[in-house]
Amino acid sequence: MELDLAGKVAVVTGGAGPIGARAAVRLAEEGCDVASIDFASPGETVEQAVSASGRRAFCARCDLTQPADVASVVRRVLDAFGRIDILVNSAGVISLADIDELDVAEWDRVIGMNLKSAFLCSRAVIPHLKSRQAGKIVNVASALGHTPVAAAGHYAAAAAGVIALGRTLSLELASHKINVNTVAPGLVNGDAVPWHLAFSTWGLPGAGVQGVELPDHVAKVVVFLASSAFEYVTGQTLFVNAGALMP
Amino acid sequence: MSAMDLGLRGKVAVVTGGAGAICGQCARRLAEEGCDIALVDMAPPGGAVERAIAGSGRRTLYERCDVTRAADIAAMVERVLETFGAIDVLINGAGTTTPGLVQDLGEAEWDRVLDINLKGTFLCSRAVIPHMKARRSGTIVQIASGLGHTPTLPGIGHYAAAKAGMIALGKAMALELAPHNITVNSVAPGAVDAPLGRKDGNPGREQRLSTGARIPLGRVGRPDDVAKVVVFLASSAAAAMTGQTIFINGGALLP
Repeated sequence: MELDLAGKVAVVTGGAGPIGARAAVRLAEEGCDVASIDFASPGETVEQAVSASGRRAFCARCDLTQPADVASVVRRVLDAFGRIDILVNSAGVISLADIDELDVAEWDRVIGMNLKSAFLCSRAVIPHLKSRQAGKIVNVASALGHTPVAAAGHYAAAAAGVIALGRTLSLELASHKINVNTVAPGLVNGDAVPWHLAFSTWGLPGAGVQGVELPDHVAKVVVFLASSAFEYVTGQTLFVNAGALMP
Repeated sequence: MSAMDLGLRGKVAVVTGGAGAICGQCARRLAEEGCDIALVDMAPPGGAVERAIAGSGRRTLYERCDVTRAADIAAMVERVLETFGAIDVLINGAGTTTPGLVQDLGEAEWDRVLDINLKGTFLCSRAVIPHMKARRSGTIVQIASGLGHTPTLPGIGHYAAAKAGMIALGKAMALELAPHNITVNSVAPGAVDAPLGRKDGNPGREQRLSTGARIPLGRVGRPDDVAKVVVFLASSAAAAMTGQTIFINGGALLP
């Protein structure tokens, strides 16, 4: 199937994490030039893998909660690549705490890095997508944004916010031929979080097809949502969790 | 073509409702990705679909089959296995509807719509599952409808109930089959410009345009919009998805 990704420019936030890194590499394999942007330095692995696909890589560290920093990094991407076709909002962070013990600073940090960053990056990129009357925004949220568990209320609220933001954007941008969809992963192998909490709370076996998903499973879904294969799909949330949650 | 390996080369797909517009397009797309295709329908498929599959260098088997009759299905599955040797993908796409308010709906019409859409899905899945289990591999994709989640117009109560049943059945099967490495997912299209979507037979260009204007992406769906997502769900790209429903509606319904 033609995915129509060759020659496109993708901005991937969260490229320092496992899902963002795999998404960046998968998009490069389909022919995208990739700008990998994260709070932490994405490191050389992504840059090397993108280059190995014969595509151009732009890697930058950026505080995605600061409007001026986001505006500046988007300008640098445009200077480097001349256009932006795809935005993957996958930057984020999780921590565990019951609500009654949650610091306000930690609430602000998690909401900021997961949700506000998606707002700021979308807002900065949208004018460039609109000017081309084409584009794809793919958000990486979490199943916890649909069905929360104990001890991650701030993260669940942020993820639910990302889903709602994406649905709203899909309506605002449809007339500009811009699709906005969200991936909601469940347990992803490599997370440093006691996700067995989630599975016992959801009451489903969680044995799933693969037991757990790998970052690459999520990345492949991101690629399809960014492609022409999903050109008539917008405002939707795809749950990638090996059968652990079927909303 | 995509660089990603979709894992469909050399696979065998059974497509029920294969004579229809949406499922015919699913068959073409699956053949392009390397699947041999069994087209299952009461009506013969158009020659165009068979030519397209042949053009992709893949084999076609047309099986006339009433999906509400277990004996027909058993015979169909046997012939597919004789011909192709395996079944890797099942597309439950056979469907029908007629408009009718619930208060006016004859019991026979209720039974007909429920049987073809929902019971047919149950019977075809039941017949194919043992062969997938034996090989610890398989993907089932159901063609449901957005109406199975949110009925948005009068006169489709029986169809909506059947499609809601397909979505629920798909989730139940997903749970049962996950340990066997078999995934089950559904697509839920919105308005599609295909004969079944033309509620009064043939709405013509004007109605199509007025419906399209109410859809955020500005047009009604095409069979290929659905087929591309079906191929994704049938492929290894969706290996970590099971029990899920993808809504394909241009933003008309955001469940």
